[in-house]
Amino acid sequence: MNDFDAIDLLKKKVGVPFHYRFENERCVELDLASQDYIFRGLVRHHTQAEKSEILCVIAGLTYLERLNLRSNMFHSIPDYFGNLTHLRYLDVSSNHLEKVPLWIQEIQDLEHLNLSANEIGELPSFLSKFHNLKTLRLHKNTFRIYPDEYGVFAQLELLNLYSSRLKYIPSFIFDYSKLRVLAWGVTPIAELPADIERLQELECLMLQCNCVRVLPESLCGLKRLKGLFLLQNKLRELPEDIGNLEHLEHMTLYQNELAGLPASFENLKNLKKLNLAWNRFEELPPVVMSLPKLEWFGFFYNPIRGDLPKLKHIKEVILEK
Amino acid sequence: MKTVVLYASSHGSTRRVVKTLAETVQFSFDCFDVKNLTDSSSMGKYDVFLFFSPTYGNEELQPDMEKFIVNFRLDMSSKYYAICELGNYYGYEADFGAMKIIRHHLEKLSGKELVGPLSMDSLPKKDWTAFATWCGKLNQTLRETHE
Ligand SMILES: Cc1cc2nc3c(=O)[nH]c(=O)nc-3n(C[C@H](O)[C@H](O)[C@H](O)COP(=O)(O)O)c2cc1C
Repeated sequence: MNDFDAIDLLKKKVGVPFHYRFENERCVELDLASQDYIFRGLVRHHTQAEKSEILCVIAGLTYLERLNLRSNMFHSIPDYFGNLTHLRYLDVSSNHLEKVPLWIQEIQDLEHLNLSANEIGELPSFLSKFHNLKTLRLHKNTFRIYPDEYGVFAQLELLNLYSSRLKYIPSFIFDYSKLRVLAWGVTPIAELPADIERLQELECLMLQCNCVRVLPESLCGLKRLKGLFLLQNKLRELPEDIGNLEHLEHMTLYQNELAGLPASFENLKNLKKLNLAWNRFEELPPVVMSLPKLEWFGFFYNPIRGDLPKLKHIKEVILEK
Repeated sequence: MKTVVLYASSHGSTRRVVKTLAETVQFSFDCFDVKNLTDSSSMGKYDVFLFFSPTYGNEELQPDMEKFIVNFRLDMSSKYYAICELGNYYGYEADFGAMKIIRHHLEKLSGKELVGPLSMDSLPKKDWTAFATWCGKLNQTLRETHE
């Protein structure tokens, strides 16, 4: 069957419009998930037998470079997908997969891989063959070990390990010198290693819902940071030189144990969004009055004594929920 | 107004919230874990539907609730609903999740929203303050509709 016939057949089997793209006679992109559909996965509620037929047709599209099967509850994706050796982008997130499919190792040169929101209990070492991997989304799985072999991902720009069962941040992650986004969360880590400073390209750091009590001063050396998400930790203070993060635009410290901010905070002249809600502030930190670009400020659930000053210079202020 | 609570829970948080609801509101209601309902045929007698569901997966419905909602085909044109979703939020605005999916479905069935939805932060701490405020709104609105 040629690719045109295969897509025609898929249209019948899927039953709703989906994205695909041809280059010459070859189908190179296929998306069976859509942001416009409320359940995202377009065949999510098809029967398992119908899903098997659909997978069988897709496996014949051997020139695919991009494949998105997100949120379809496939449970497993058969080994004959090993024919899809040209894939550069693969999203099989949220499909109740218990294993990383073995056929992925047949792909020649993967750049983007999304295995998130499955039930993957172990990460295979074969993924380390993908030296050119740029984005790796592994969040919301059940694995406990991030293999040492993954130290080879020198091109990685995004790594999401939010809500895994990892107990510490493997030190070689700080060798991923091109990393721009790092997400880590729902783990018992109490400290962020000082090595974080080695990730000089970092623009967004998410450390949601851990037990972090102390941040290293070296964090303040991450000059490119625009987003810093430290919500739901146990922070009692911030590093003294936090104001060095002069490109910071969005900072959330929601649900921590902060009662004050360091003096250098006033240097965060580019801060647009700041969430200090559900902390231990008894008064408004005066510095909030002098952040010139602040347009969103959350401050609810703090044990405030007395009245707050007017905050008319900020477009949106949330003092109560 | 005969009221029913329909909830789903994988790890017990939502069940606990529903228990607290019973202690907090001033109206009576029937209550079902949707995993024990085979279909929605017995739901016709209710006027008000209160949905409680956590978000799971990649911003998806809890699986029992998803099964239930997909098959929930009651004509809601003369009925009211309110939705409380549970999840892990960034501190103010909630992401896409259980609430938006349930609401989408109930709107298609022509239901009317009784009070605005609550996205209740439940991981790691439960936002009982927001929940109490929301229960207050439910109390007041149901009182007014009775008067
Ligand atoms: C595997 C997993 C995935 C989750 N995904 C989301 C999500 O996408 N969005 C969200 O707001 N909360 C998410 N949560 C948080 C749950 O909604 C929250 O813990 C909730 O209180 C669980 O309710 P339950 O104990 O009644 O099952 C997730 C939790 C788990 C364990």
